[in-house]
Order: sequence, then C-alpha cells, then structure tokens
Amino acid sequence: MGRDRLNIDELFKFYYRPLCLYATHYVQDVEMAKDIVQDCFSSLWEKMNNEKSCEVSNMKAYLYVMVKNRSLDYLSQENLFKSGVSFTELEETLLDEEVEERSVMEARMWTAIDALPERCREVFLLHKRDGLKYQEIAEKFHISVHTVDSHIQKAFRLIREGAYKVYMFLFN
Amino acid sequence: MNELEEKCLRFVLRHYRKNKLDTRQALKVFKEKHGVVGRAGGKNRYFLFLSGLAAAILLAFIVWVGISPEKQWTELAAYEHAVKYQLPDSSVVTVYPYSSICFRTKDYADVCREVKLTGKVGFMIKRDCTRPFKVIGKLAEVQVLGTCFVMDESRADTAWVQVESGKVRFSVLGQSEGVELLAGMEAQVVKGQHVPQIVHRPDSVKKGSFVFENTPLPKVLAELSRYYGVKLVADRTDKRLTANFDAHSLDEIIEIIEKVLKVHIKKQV
Repeated sequence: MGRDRLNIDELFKFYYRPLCLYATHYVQDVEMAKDIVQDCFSSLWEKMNNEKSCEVSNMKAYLYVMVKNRSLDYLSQENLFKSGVSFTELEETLLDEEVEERSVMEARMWTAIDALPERCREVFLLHKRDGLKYQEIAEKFHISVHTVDSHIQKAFRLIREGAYKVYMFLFN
Repeated sequence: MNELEEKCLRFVLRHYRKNKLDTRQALKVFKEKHGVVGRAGGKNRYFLFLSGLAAAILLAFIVWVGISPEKQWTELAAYEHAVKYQLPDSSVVTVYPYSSICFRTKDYADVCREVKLTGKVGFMIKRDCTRPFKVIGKLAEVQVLGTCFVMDESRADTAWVQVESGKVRFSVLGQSEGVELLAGMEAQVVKGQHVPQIVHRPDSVKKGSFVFENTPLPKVLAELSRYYGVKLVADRTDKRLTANFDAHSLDEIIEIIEKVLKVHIKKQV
C-alpha cells in the first residue's frame, strides 16, 4: 500500500481500538497502549512520507507486528517483566494463536458496552466488573432486583450480539 | 457465552472505562500532530461533494426552466358560464363554458401572438400586421391579422370556425393548404380531412348565439348540452322551437324555453 493509497481515516476506524486492546494484553495499561498505537500510526505515516517506494502488502499484519514489538520494547525498558505485573494473563494471551482475532472481538464488545443504555451499562458494570450483588445494585439505584436482572440480561444479549456484528464504523 | 467470549469479556471489563478508547479523538490528535488537513485519501468525500454540486446545479436548472418568464404559460378558462378576457395586446376573447386558451406570457407580448385552444372560444383580435394572431387547436389552426371569429373544437374530432368580421385563414394542423373565410362564412373540418369544408350559414354569424328555426326540442337541448357541458332533459320531446339566444346564461335560456313551450327542463350531471 503506497502513501497515496494510505487512508488514515479507514485505518483508524478499523484497527485503532483492536490494536489498543491488543497492546493492552502486553502492557496491561490502556493509556500506555493508546500511546503505543499512536506511535505506531505515526511511524507508519512518516515511513510512507519519507520512503516513496515503500509498499506494505498486508497493512493489518504490519500494524499488529509493530504494536507487539513496541509493547515488548516498552516492557523491556521498564523492566516490567521482572515486576510480575499480570504475568499470568500476559503469558496466556501471548500463547493464544488467534490473539489478533481475539482483540477484534474485544473491541466489538467494548463498542457494544459503550452503546448500552446508560442505566443498563451502569448496572452491568457494577455487577460484572465491580462485583456488586443484585440486591446492592437495586438499593443503590432504588430499583427492584428484577429490574437489575433485566438490565444485566439485556446487556449480555447486546454485548453478545455486538461481538459478532461487523460494521464499517464498528470501532468509532 | 462460550469460553472465548467469557475470556474476552473479562478482559474488556477489567480495563473498560467509558469513552476511554475514542477513535475519533485519537484520529484528531494524529491529524493535528501530522498536519493532516481534512480526510486523508478522502476521494470519496470529494466525489460526494462533486455529485452534490452537480445535483444542485441540475435542480436549479429545472427550477429555472419551470419559473423562467419565457416559459411561463397563461391559461384563461371558463367553467359554468362564459367569461370574457382581455389579452396583453388588448384583443378580447370570450371563453365559453368548459373551454380554455393558453399562451406563453412573454412570447405573446414580445414575439408572436399564438394561443392554444380547447373547446369553444370567440375572438375579437386587435389588428397587428407585423404579428399575425394564430389559434392552434387539437385538429386545426386559424391565422388572422385582426378580426372577429369563433373557433369551436368542443365536439369530438371536429373543428369549426365562424367569422363575424375580417378575414381568417383556416387550415388543418400540419397541412399547408387551407381556406380563407370572410365575414359571415363558416367552415369545419372533421378528423381525417386535409382541407376544411366551407359551410354557409349567414343567420348564425352572430358570435356566441344560438339560432333555432322550428327545431325539434331534443335537438335544441342537445346543442345546448354540448355547449354548456351539462346534459339537459325535457319532460316532453314533441315540441319545436324558433328562437335566437345569446349564449351567456344557460339558466336564462332554459327559463325562456320552459315558458314558451310550457315544458320542464332538468339538468343532469
């Protein structure tokens, strides 16, 4: 892909969020992952600008490899391998042969959670992420336990549907 | 959810914060950093812009064609009663019931006096040697310099012209050969004919009149029905009528006939 064919809008739309989550598997920090991905896009842009003859036949693979290498560089520089931060998770992720596809599914789930109705998302996150019980959530929002259950079931359904839907504007 | 989905969801939930991964914001930051203006590689947007521009120009052209003074038409029509109108050149027309004429407003005033006729219309045309007056019907056309005449195409497949004063040229549409009619003459053309046939009927020269001489009542009503577009039926059909009527008011004519012949006439739609 030459520079004249490099559509940065499309690249961001398709790959920004999956790449961030892919990098997060390594660095375990979304903000750092975002910086790494921005750096990778910048490097690609400058490479295309400076090297007129530069051709990238598989942009997706190129970006994923670049993000992975930068993530590992970051871990090496920060000596985080020794700190033991989420090493189990890191190892598990790195052994996954379909890690790229997994980051895509995670990006779709992230997008689906973003798109949930406000109260539905709050209830779902309090239960699934923060570990609150139905009764605690019901008291917090002054709603019935049945309503909490409805919100959570709805959230599960929408996230699951979102995980398999393919939209062009999926990761906006 | 299967194992992979559960694993993915656990990972997402561990890191999820609303609006934390904002693609648009990230793209904006990238563009600001690299001085990218607008949408890089935005050929589609450029194409859409050009398409929109072309559509707007086309729409404007269509609107212009529709409202341009050169293209505007004036229509003069009458429904239940005959109506007199004055044309831009001071000529006067009497449009009979359920008839009309139309002409291009600007062309009539500046270029050529040409009107299209439907039904029956009487003309008192102001003389203008430089711009002949032309009436175009569905079947025939009439051309004059200045005169009084009536043209009638209200009967199916028949065009009829009656001249009160002056001279007119009466011809079939698309045919070069025609007839010249002088005052007191009338002529008609039936569909399929190439040249109008002259018919002399001096008694009925008066514009817009009905002349009946010992005419059977059904025939009288048939003629009135045809002119006014309303079916007239009488309770007796054995009467005959001799009378001259001015064709301005059907109700008056009916009232006179009812009184003279002692019959009752009904209008049927």
